[in-house]
Amino acid sequence: MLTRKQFLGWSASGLALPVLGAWAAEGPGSSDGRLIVVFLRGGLDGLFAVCPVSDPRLAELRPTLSRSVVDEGIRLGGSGFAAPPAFKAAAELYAASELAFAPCAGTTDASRSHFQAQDLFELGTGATHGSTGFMARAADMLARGRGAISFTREVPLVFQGGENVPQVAPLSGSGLKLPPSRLLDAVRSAHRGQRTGDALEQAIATEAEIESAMTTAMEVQASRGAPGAGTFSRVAATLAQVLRNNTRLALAFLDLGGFDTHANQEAVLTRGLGDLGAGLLTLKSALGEREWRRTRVVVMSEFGRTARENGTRGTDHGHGGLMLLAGGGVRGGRMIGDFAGLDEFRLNERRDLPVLVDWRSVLAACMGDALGLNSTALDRIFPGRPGQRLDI
Amino acid sequence: MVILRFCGAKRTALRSLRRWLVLPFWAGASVALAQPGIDAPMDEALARNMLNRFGFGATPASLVQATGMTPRQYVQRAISAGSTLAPAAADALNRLPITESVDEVWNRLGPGGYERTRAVDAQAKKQLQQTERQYLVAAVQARLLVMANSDNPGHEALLAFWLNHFSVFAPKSEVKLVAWDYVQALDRALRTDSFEELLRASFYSPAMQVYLDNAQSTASDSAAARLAARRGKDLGINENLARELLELHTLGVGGGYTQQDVQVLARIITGAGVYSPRMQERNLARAGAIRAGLFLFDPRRHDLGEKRFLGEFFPAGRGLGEIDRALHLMAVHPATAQHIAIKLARRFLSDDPPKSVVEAMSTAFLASGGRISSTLWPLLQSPEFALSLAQGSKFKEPADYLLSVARAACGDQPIINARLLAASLTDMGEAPLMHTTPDGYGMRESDWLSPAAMAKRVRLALGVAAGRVPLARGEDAGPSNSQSGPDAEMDRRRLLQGTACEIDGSALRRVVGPISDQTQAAALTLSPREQAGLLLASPDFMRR
Repeated sequence: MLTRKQFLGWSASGLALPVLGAWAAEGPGSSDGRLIVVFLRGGLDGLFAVCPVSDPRLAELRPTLSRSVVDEGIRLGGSGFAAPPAFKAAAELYAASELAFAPCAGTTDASRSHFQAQDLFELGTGATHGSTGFMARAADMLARGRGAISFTREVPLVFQGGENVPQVAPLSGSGLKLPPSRLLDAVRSAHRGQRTGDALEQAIATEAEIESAMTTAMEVQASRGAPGAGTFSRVAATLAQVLRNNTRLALAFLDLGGFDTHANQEAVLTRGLGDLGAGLLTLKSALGEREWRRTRVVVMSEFGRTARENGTRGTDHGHGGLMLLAGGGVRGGRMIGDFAGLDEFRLNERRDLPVLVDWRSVLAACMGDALGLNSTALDRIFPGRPGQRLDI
Repeated sequence: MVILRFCGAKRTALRSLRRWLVLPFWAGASVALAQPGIDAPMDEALARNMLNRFGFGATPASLVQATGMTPRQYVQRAISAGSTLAPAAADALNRLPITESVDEVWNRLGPGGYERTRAVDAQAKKQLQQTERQYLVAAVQARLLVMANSDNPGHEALLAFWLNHFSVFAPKSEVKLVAWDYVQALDRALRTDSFEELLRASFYSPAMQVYLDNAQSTASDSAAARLAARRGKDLGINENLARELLELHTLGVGGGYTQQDVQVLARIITGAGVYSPRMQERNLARAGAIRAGLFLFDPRRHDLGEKRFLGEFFPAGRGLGEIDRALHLMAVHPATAQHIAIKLARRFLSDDPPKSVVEAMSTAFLASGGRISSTLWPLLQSPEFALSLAQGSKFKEPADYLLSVARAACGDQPIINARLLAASLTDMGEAPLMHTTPDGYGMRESDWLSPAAMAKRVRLALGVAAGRVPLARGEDAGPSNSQSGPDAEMDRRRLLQGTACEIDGSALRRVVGPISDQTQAAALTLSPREQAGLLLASPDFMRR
């Protein structure tokens, strides 16, 4: 008889029959959901955001950085982890079974370079160079008529190189407004058939959608009182409104900066995590219950940081880090993958956390679950992904 | 129908391309001394292309000036000479608070400075922040004023490249106060035509020391750390600058160094930091601290142990000499040659430069001990360069685009509305000294071409052509502090008050040069003013 573990191993090595492979990847979820990827650039210190307060070595490794979470943190059930006061939103979602966390997730990066690790994450192939990002490949696998949107200023690597070009909607700045005129028509015709022309046409097409969403979102925001101080919490309502109005948008991406905390980490992350938490809660309320159930939000960073705090009340570049999965329909209130503790011999190179959950496993599971993509499609989106299959 | 005249210019460009590629009959004898491509005087078409590639676009005067120079002379001047500005632009520059001595500013506002120490209540602290911000704003505006009005735009393009290679984020803490000092330090180093001097100028600057946290990094068994420990405070190493020195400034990721090298380099550079007025000269002298400008090497924070870095043995206790030696090792490393060659080629040749050209540049870098000019000659000599110049295939980065629009529209009228330049470029995402992470701005089309970017470019071009964008002179404005809220709205409106440049149609066509059939066809039914807008928004003008 085949054990489940053997089956999964075989399936990963391509030996299983395709029909079985398809069965294995299609979860109970519907195929009309959406996936929002929130990428925290700079290397979030996962041990600060969701902290293993029960670990006996914590105080020794992090004499100043563990103080407030040990004293005032909010425990995440019986997991042995707690969220610091600034990230109480995570604890709230966790308690509502709408958030799960993987404390030792990450990529195959070994360089500890921001830029290489970010490229690795966005490419999703395990290579550091390549021409298409994983969300671009995922967009190409979507059912006809479904599309993708990038809430960024430019097209990020994660969305580059595909056929199903994402809309780009920067949520700050001056928008896309280009009033129609004879001259604008001439400009469009001069650019027609060129890459610049495609981008220009898309700007003109997206403009109307975003503009109308902005107007409604302003009212939603106003009725909820003053928005938070950070970027994400400020734009989350608009973002939710755009997604609500355009249910065909199955994939969304946004990135937030400011997580490279070499010094004075507590103050910097109190702001950053406060913003992230407030943004997630705004997203939930502005999407409304029905849409929130269709939504999977994955939050991740290019790497975690050193287990030990450095000499300037910060942390330096590390390896494994935190991955969060949130949404109305996720199996939350639990930990994904293992946590081996902070003992020196458990650490990666005696320095930082190992990667026990490959980032592609979580993303693939979400795409299977929320977008109805089968394992053949997922193998094309994440060629060379490990055999590990997660149940989301 | 004026626009149809451009056909002639396009033919000229092709003619000059042919001249670049074909060796004259006598070339065989003297090929090592004088390369016909880079040692032949440029005609107007070629000069225009060079001003686009190594510069921010032509103006009538710069076109006259560059025509007749050889490409080698053009680039040599770009490296070793600075810029002169027209009187109106120079006046505008001198009105910014960049002329104050940086030592004085630091003594007032730096950590422990007398004005900072005096600011105790909330009102005074707010005032202090506004004062600090003025220096940041001034550095960004000054940089843009010089770039827009330079009579030696090649120099400003190369300096922009190096400022981006050794990128700092000026709004971070005290970097604001020393951002312009940083620009000047790299400017001086560039003129020595040496990569090692650029690396040293960047490393020994207060801006870089503060930006990448090295000023705080302290060896854990040093005198300073032991003293702090007795007071119940932990001091230790911060490896931020060490990592970026290897990864971004020199060898490059994949350059063959290890995590061990990063950690050892972090130990080597402990003690490097910044002078603070709160330090007492007597104590510094007793400790053997070494000061150069605001840079300070304090042995009390330095790791005195022996080290092994990039395979070389560093005996114990050499202090500052160790840092010099490590910088030199990195500056002349073959991986550094490769890294610098590919970045220069990406900026000045193409997004994916051919291996052969990069290889030749890298070899020249090593053979010349890291001379910038020697590294650039193989690029200028390559047939790929001649071809890419004629095709204008590089997508302009936002700074290239904004400044070339301003220069083309204003001709040689001074462009002194620096607030407007800074605000527009911030909106487009490429304001100088404002990239948050140390990798600097991207240089490829895929980094910049997006729907939002196109909307902004087209809006800018049409606004400039319609005379709605006051590039020539802004309304004299008080300090602008807010990023959002009603004040920001007022700021935006105020930004658009002032004097626009008067566009001279024929001068504009001359500096823009040849355009494609498709753009010409699109122009057929337009008025002359609209044609100017189309030219500035055309696909031809978005490439260089």
